[in-house]
Amino acid sequence: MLLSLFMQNHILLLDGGTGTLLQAAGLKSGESPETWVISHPDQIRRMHLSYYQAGSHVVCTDTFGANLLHFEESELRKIIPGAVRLAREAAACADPSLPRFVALDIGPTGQLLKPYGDLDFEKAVEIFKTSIRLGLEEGPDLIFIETMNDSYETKAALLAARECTDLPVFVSNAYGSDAKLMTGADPEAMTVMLEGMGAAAIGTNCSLGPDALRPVVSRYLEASSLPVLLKPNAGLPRVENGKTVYDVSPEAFAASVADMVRQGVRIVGGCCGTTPAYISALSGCLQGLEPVPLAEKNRTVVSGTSHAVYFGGKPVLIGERINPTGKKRFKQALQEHDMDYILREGISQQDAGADMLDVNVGLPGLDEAAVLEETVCELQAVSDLPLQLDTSDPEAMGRALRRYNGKALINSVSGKKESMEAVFPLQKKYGGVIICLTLDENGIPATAQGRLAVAKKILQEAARYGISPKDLIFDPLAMTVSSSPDAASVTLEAMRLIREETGCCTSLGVSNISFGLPQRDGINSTFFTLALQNGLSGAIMNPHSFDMMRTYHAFLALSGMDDHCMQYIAYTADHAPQAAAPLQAQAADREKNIAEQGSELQKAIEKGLREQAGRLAHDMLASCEPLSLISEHIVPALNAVGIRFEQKTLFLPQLLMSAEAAGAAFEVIRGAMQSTTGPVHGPFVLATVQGDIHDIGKNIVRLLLESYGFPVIDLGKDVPPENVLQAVLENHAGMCGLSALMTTTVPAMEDTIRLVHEKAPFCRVIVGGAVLTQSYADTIGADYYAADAMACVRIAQQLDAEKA
Amino acid sequence: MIQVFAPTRLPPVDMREVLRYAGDRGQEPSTDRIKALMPEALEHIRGQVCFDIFPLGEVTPEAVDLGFTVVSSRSLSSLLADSAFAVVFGATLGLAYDRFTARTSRLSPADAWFLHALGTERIEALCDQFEEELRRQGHVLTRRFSPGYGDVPLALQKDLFRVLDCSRKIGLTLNASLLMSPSKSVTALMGVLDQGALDLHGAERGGCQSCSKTDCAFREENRNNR
Repeated sequence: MLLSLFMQNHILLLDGGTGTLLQAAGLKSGESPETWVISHPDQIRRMHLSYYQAGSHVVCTDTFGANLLHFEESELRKIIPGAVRLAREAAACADPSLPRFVALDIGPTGQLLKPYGDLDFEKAVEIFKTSIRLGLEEGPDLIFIETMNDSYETKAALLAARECTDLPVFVSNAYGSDAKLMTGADPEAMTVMLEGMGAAAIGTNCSLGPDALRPVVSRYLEASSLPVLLKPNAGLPRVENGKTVYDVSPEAFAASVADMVRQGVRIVGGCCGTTPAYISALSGCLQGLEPVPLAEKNRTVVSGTSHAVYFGGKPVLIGERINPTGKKRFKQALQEHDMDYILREGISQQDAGADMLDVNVGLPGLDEAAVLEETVCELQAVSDLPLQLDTSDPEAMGRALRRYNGKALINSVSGKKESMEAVFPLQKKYGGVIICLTLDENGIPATAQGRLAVAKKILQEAARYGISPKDLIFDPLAMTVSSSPDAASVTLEAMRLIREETGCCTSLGVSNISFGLPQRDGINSTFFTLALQNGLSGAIMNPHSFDMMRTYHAFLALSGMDDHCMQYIAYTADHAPQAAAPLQAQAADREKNIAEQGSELQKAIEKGLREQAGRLAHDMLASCEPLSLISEHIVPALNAVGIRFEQKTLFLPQLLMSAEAAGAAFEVIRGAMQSTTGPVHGPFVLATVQGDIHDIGKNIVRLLLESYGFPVIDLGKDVPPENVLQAVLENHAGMCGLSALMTTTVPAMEDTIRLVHEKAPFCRVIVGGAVLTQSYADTIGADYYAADAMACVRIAQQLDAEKA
Repeated sequence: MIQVFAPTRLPPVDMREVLRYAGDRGQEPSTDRIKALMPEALEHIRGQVCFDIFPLGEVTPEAVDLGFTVVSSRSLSSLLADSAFAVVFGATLGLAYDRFTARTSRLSPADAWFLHALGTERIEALCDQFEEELRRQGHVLTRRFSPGYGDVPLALQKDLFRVLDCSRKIGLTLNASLLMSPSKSVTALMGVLDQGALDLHGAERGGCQSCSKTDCAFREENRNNR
């Protein structure tokens, strides 16, 4: 019988624990259960059979850890097909009155993915594919991805399965007692991501007993349109009279799980500590229970690394600042690959109250696909907000969606045939909600009815790809009101019509409306009010705009979405418009001569006062050349703190704070320079070596080098030798700094030094890191050893002076 | 059997230790910045320890048989010379702290440095708390020793991760270079000098039930009956 048919009107009963039974049969601590497929096949077959006889419809193969990180491929070739065969043989022996299915079991790799670990996403996908393909040789009925405690690895496993087979894929995650995965995702975030990628069933296993998992299960049932599965532990283990016992009995376990079946769970079994006795008890409790019918939840939802964001309730604020359009400084950051600047734009918008971030890094001459992919990965490392991927390049969209951790908002598709053909397949494969622009080959319709017609066309076409209306958000396009007087009213009318006739959510790029007008925030925030009043679900806007944010909070208060206006009160208290400084004080400031201001700037840097340093630099630029500002005020201040640090009278963090204050002054000066004058010093390539994932020391070196005026090309952590060489060659960098924390990564450092010396003999290599010493550095062929970040600056200055 | 210790709260922060890890060598620096960071930083800490206890095999001056592997190390041998068992554990502050540090490093490397120091103080505090808990249960322990200390090979990490199932139990992983993620983590072992260790370890290793002296005051079933 087909699994999908059986599931339509039956509760599906899975098996119980594997480790528990095998340990009882003699599996030793630290021994891999998978090896027993080869060494003890009879025991494995007997275990499967005992579960079938206890009432399991499905048993999971003994392949939890059978992957390339734990075994050689030649071993996997024996283990995985063998494991599926053993389950099949057990099914053939079982009482034939029940259908018997075999699930190919896929557990986590045990390694953490980048950026927190060093396992590359695509490599993880390949590892899972290898295991899955081997399992498919023996024809399992489904793939069971289980005990995943990282959302990103879960995505890699599901993607691998979906790219190998059309079999149903069940995905089960392991939650902590805080109802989050180890890497932070909650049940709603997992639900939307996995639904979007085509899982057949989702849920939770392991970690806790059935009662402790109840809150997680309820959240799944509330969020999921798919069948929900539950495979809990037999409670918590403890040692009693020298024996490992679990605190939930088979009867209590079965009663608790059956109760959740009454709430709507449709697939059940047991994990650690459960045995055929538990499954048998559960099978008894399930007699006569009908599955609760599935309900399509029909919500428009996206997710980031930790949580989901819903459209259609409280309006969703999408920060628009990560976008080079009309922003000189942002363009410069993109060209210089200044990822910190881009990420700070993201973090500051999150802090300002954005619910999501738009990400647009398209710039002529830039490899947009590569930059978008990298930016998305870097942003997700520092912000848990869902992202809106904003590109018209399908290759860039495809690559970013593949790497995205969660369910993204895709910006955008239009009613043009070419656009829909390019983007809908990507959405179908990777999941996502999509922004649909109501324009087509004939341009933007002038009337609201015309835009509604385009929307309907897009809905129809999306349905052909199997994309549900809930995953479409319509943007009725705000045009510039200064060039067409009815721009706002047509847009608002189109929005209302689309909502009423399609039931779909809407969004707008609010700021477009005011192009060419003075005091744009005035127009924007009023238009925003009107749009909200007409049911706008999401707005792409600037969360740093006081007018816009005040409008938003006022709207929530007025429309009953802000209890007792508490949020409005909190917002206005934090963001009261600043009273202008008294005129006299301003005049007094202006009268200060440049020398006085200069000494204040030096003091601000020495004390590590970032804001003050930036403000003083800004004021001084009115009457002082940028370069003399640097050489006469900033550098002397830095030298003063540097020397105190070297004399050990200054605490390292104070040196860092001074460098940050100098950085704030540089940032101001940089913004003021008409064009970037050629670098004063030679470029410095900096990296943490391959295999090493610690970057705190490297970041400190970078901060100090930059504050001393060295342009730094920071390659990040875990950098292969070839990439270091490539950066040295491309920038003709005379200096290269390498960092390694542990003895195990020093060989990678040695390889890098050898490669750089061989292919780029003009480059001097400076090394540093916890395990290194001068003699160790000499042994591995480094040109210089820097004991700390300040020492590295001194070496760079010395090299620079020699070159000049 | 692998067990998990997950305290609801860690001991109070020892600011002197934090400053020491941050590089204080008697400058008596201001603690304003770290104090401003602390409330949010501490919210990102979720301390967890997974551990198991193993009866020791042969201990010679050069090597120790831990049951699951033999370690060639004079320093470990002398540490465990009088012990009957070894407690092996992995401890971590969790990944959220790494995330918070990564985010902070983009805004302020100085703040990130403080978080690094605070995290180091916190993970050591978690290890101390775990030891304290075992001592409270009446165990007499040696001091803790980690792979990489003295002549204990770093490669021992692989064996510890194998027997502790760290990634599944507490989300702690080891990469090919033997670095741990989350970064604020510790693995270590300690000798147990007392017989009460029998309470902690699993039945598969025998335990006192197998002894013929059934009227012994220390026999576990007798103790439980009281």
